[in-house]
Amino acid sequence: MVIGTNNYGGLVTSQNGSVWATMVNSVNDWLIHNNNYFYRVKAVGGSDMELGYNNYNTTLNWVTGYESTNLYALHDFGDAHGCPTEREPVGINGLCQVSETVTWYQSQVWNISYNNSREAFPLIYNTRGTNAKQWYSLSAFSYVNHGAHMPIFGAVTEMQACLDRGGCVEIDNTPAMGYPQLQYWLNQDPDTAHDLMWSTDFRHHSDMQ
Amino acid sequence: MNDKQLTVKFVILIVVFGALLLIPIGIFAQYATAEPRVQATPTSEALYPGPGTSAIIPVPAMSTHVSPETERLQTYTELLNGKELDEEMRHSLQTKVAIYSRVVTQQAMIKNTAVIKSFPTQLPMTDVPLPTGLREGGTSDFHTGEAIIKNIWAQYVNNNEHIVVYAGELGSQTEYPGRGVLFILRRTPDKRVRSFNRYLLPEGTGWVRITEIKGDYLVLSSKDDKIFYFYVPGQQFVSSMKDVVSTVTPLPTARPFPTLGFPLEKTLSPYPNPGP
Repeated sequence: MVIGTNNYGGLVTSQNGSVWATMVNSVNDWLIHNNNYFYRVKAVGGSDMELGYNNYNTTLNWVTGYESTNLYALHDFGDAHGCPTEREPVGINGLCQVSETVTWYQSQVWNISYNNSREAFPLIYNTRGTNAKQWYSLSAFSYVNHGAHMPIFGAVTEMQACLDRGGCVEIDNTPAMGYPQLQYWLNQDPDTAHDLMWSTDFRHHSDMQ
Repeated sequence: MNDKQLTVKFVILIVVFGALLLIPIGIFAQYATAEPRVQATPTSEALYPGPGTSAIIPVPAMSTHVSPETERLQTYTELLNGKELDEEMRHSLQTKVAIYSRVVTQQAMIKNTAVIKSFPTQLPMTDVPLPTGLREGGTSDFHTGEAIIKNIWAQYVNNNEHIVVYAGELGSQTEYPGRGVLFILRRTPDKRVRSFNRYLLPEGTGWVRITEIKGDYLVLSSKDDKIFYFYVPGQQFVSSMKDVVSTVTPLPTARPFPTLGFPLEKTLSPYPNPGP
């Protein structure tokens, strides 16, 4: 069970990251001490960390705040918006052009989504496979620059959210589309080959705005 | 029983126990010398049935359940044995191994005796007034690849319907990246009935923002300083604030969720009531 938030807005601070980890620890503590639930269910922290929602330093502050207190992993179910879609050569830190004024680098996305206790569980909602290729490129970046690929936890889609809300065009992968896309791109390169463990799909709650 | 008989029995015992000992040793040797699992390189997407797709997966006999945390622990432990790891990766993998080792140990100390208890009663939903007015800035209601929102206007309109207008541009993952767009979300007060629609600005128009609200009209300005008018009750772009178009149909009044009992509008008696 991933208890998640996102990296949008002014509340993305180190202190709130720490508070989030305390909450996740408390949930697991309850699961451990009540009815043996922990045997079947565990909680981890999560965040929809999108490159267009906030800058790298602010996002990293929240993450390091989480890791100042956490006992359980942190899952990044965000994106790699504007990042390269191919395997980059040795020594190249791919540019992620989010907008005209906002840029990240692959090393930064790798850092918030995989370093230390973090796990990548990315959004694979684009029907053309762009998201899957971006995360393949990041896993290859990990192999080339850090000596091991980045094992990705699974694929997140938003088909039900699109059905709930409408307005989605070309970003409404079903789970049966998103999962094989990511699995395919990771496994076409022996250096990043691995099986994805999970697939999950978002729905929209009615409380937008 | 003489010495010869005893010796024969002793030899038989050694042979039997020896054979029993060899079986597990043989099994262990088989696993120890087995080729490591090699990830096949796919040639087509069809090789990977996604979740929900039925597939027959061979399961080895006498397999035992392995928790996801145990699998994760194995993955990271194997990676930690790599020779090319840099210090950052090594430290990262050690952190992950420490976390998953702790979780696996915690789970092992708990018995699989969880009892499913009755589902807790849901707390009643309280209606909190939704925000209204013009607000600058974006929102996490959309993924960045879906839309980049410049500002948002919200208001209660006829029949107490709540309307939210998002103004901005389509994101890079859509079919028209960078094109000006309005999204309109309408909801009944209890939020059970709603509609969500997308209104594109003409091709070549970049982002738009709401600059003014004049009665039933929204005044929008675009990236290249063009002005557009949107008539809210009709949910249409119009050429001027003198244009009036037909209004959209109000959302139907929310109906309560169906219950498991008999429908209230039908008589419970199988016999029709006699007339007066």
